[in-house]
This record gives sequence, C-alpha cells and structure tokens, in this order.
Amino acid sequence: MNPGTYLFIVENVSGGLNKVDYVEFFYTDSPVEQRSWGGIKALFRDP
Amino acid sequence: MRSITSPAARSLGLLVALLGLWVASAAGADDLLVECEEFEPYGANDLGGYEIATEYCSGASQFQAVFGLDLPGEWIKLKVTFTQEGCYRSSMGYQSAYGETVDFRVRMIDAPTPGQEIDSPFVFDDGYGFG
Repeated sequence: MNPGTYLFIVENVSGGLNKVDYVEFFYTDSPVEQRSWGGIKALFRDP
Repeated sequence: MRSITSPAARSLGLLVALLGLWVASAAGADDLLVECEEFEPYGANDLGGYEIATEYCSGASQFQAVFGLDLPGEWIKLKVTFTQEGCYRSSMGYQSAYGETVDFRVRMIDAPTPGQEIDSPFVFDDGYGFG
C-alpha cells in the first residue's frame, strides 16, 4: 500500500448468519514481500 | 539456587523488562485495527434478510459487532489510514452460526475524497476464511 487513507469493504462471499468484529492490518517486511511490493510498484508506476 | 535480591540488580531487571515491552510495542506500531462497527458513516450494501446493524456481542472487542451480513454480496465499508509504504497482511475477527460456513473477503478501494471512489491499481483481495 502507498501511504494514505483508503476505504475498504468487508464482503460476504458465501454463507449465512454471522457477526463481524474487526479487521486488522499487519505490516510485513519479509524479503519476499519487499520484492513483491517492488514488482507491484514497477508494474503500476505512473507514466 | 541463588536469587537476585539486591535493589540495583532488581532495578536493572525491571529496566530490561520495560525496554523489552517498549521494543515489542514499537514493532507493532504499524499494525492497524479497524472496528467493523465504525462502518456507519461510510455505508453498507444490504440486499435483504437481516438488517445490517451494530449490536452487542459479549465476545467481541469493545463488546460490539456488526450483524446482518447474511447474504452473499452484502458488504460494509470502512476506512483505514496507512502511514508507511509497503505490504500489509490482513486478518478478520468474526463468528458464524454454529455449523455454518461463511466466506468473507476484504477488498481495498482507493478513495481520496468522498464521491471519488476509484479502483486502486494496488487492489488486493484477501481474508478468505471459514468459521
């Protein structure tokens, strides 16, 4: 993610009754994820 | 077995323990928790069935959870602010009725200002789970 404020949705894909409590985001900086982030940035970089 | 009894040694031990707690809290500084009951200013998609609403839940954080996402395609919208660039892993807290399987998805949408919701190139789908 780039720094900033985002809206997101929590969507029921399938199933019935439930209660949703919270969503948590954990920063991850393993080498694999750093490479993935680098690849995403290169793919979608501004022209 | 010897035990540490001198005041200086105990103070040093306490300092080390506090330092450990500080490091642990600093490491979690970029972890963000968003309560689902904060959806109301941002909206929801209620297709029928039970009404989507916040209600008391003894097992939930802050004793509140959102009920009523009981049909596929229904969703609630929430807001999160990332201060650090990079990769994030998402996790959800939810419960289903006993014996039921529910499949959820967390979908990021880029919305710099209200009314200008644009699908972000950095969209990811995550959060599939069963309960």
